[in-house]
Amino acid sequence: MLGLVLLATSPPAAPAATYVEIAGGAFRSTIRYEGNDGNSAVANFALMQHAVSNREFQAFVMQHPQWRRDRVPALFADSGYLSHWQAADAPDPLDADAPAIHVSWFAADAYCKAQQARLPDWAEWEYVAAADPLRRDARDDPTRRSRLFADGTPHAVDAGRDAPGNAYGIHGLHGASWEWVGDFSTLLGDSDKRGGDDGDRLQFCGATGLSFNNRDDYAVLKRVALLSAMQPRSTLGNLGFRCARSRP
Amino acid sequence: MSRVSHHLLFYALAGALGIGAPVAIAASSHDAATDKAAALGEPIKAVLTAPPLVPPPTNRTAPAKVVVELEVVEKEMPISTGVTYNFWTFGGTVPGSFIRVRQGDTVEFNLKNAHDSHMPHNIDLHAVTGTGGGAEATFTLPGHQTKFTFKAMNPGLYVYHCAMPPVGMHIANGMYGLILVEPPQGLPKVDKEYYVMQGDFYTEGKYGEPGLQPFSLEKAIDEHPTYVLFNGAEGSLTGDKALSAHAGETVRLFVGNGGPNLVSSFHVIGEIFDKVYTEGGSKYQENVQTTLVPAGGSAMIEFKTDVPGNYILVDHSIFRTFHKGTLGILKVDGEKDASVYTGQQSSMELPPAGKSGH
Repeated sequence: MLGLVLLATSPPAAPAATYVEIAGGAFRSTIRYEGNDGNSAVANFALMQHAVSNREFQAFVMQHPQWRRDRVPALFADSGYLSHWQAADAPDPLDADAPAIHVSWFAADAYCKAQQARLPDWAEWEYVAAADPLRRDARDDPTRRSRLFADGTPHAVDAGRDAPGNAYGIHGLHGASWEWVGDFSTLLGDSDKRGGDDGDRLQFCGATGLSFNNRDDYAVLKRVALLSAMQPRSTLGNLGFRCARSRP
Repeated sequence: MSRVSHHLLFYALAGALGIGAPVAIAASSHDAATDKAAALGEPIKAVLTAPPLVPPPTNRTAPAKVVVELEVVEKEMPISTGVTYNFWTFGGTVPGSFIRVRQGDTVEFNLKNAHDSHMPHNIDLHAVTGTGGGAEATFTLPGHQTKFTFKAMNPGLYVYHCAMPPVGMHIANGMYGLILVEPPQGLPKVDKEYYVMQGDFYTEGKYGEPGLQPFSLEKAIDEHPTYVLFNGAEGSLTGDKALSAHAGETVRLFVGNGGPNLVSSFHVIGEIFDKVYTEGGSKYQENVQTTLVPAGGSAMIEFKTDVPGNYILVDHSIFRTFHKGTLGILKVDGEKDASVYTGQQSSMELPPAGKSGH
C-alpha cells in the first residue's frame, strides 16, 4: 500500500534531457512564404537530442496535473490526448522510452515552457532535419530524399531505436512520428490575418502564400501538408515533439 | 478558439502544385440539406462494394437521401507475386469501393480516416458540383471523420480520388475509385456488371523485384511506371479471380482509369463492345474494338457474350500487358456455337517452297 502511494505520488525519475548546441547559418528552406524567397539565417540554438519520451512527459503530467488526460480542458487537447497511456498519469511501461505521441500543440508548448525551453520554429527544425548521419545538408541526395517519404510511418529511416544520429548528433527527426513546431500555425503570418470564407483566403495566398523552392521534396511537402491540417488542440498517434532553447 | 491560418498553408500547397486551390474549409456544421432531406424520405445507406463487384441498381423511381460512409485505410498489400506495396486506399481496396447513386439524390458523404493512417486525406469526387469536388470539405486527419452533402446533378460514371498534397503521390498509391450516378430511368438491364479500374504504379525496384517496394518519385515524374494494373494488383482478375459469365449473357463493365499518368487503350481480346458510353457520359458509340479511357476518366462498356472462351482484358498499349501486368480475364462458359466461331478447323503444312512452277 505504501509502495502504491509512493508510486502514485512521486514523479518517475526522468533524466534531464540532453540538448545539442546547433551552430546556426544561412539556409535555403524548401518552402517559401511571406515574400521570403526561402533564404533565411538560422541563429544559434539548442535542440533536444531525442524527441520527448512518454517517461519524460509523464514527469511533466505529474508535476502539472492539469495536463492529465482526464483533467485537460477540451479547448487544449482533443479526445485522443494521451489515449495510448494505460492510465491518466502513466504510459504503458513498454512504451516509456518511445516518443510521446497523442500530444496537442498546447500541451507540447506547455511542456517546453516548463523546461525553460520552447518548441523549435519550422526553420530550425528543417535546418537540422536537412542532415543525414554524414552531411549537414543531404537534401540533394535523391536516394536519401525518397527514404524520407516514409516519415511518420514505421518504415521511417529513424524509426528504429538504434537509428544513428544525424551530423549534428540529433536523433529521430525522421522517425515514425511527425513533430510539432512552434510556428506551425503561423507560417503564413499572424493567425488573425485569416480571411473569411469568401475568397479572401485566395487573395491572401496569392499575395503572400507559400510555395516550394523544391517541388520534388515530397517528404517536406507531406510534412507541411500534415501540419497544415492540424489545430493546436489536435493530437495524432504519430505526432510528437521536442524542445529547443534560444542562445544569445 | 478560432481556427488559425494554417489552413492557408494547405491552399498554398495545393496552389504550388498547380491544383485548383479550394476556397474554404467548411467550419460550419450546419447541414443546409437538412430541410430538403425530409422530403426525400428516410435516408438510405449506400451499398459499397469492393472491386470487381458492383452494387445492385438503385431501382428507385425518385431521388432519395443517400448516406455514404467510406474509410481511408493505408495498408501493405501484394502488387504482384512476391511483391508488396504500401497502398493508400478508399475502403481497403484498390480501386476504392464502388459507389452507386441516382441522379437527383442528395448524398451525405462521410469520410473516415483510420486511426493508423500516417497523414490526412480527403476526397475529390468528379460527380460533385462544387468547390474541389468535396476535397476541402473532407480534409480529414487520422482518427477523424468529416461530412459534406452534395446533390448528384449529372448522371454518369465518375472517378473519385484523394486530393491531398502531394496529390500525385496519393493517386499513385491507389487512392481512387468510381461513383456511378444512374440516370432517372436507370441503366438498361444486363446479366453481369463488373468494376475494373486501371492504374499505373511506380516502384523503386524493377518489375517483379520481390519484397516491399517503395514509391519512386523519379519514375512517377518521368511517367515510367513499373506496373500498369487492373484493380491494383497483378492477378487481380485472373485464375480464380477471373470475371465470369455464361455464353449469351450481357455484360456491363464499369471501367475507370485512376492514372496518375497513363491513358488506357482498353480492349477485350476476342470481344467487340456493342456499346461504349465513352468517357462515362450519356451517349454511346456502337461496335467498338478499343476505347480510350483517360486518366481521371471512365467508360461504360456493354456487350453480349456469344460464345465461350477466355476473353482477355488488356491495355492495347500492349507492352504494358506483357511487361507491366495489365491483364485480366473474362471467363465465359457455355455451349459452343460454330456458326459464330468454329475454333481451329485445320492445321497443315504448306506445299514445299522452292521449285514450284511460278
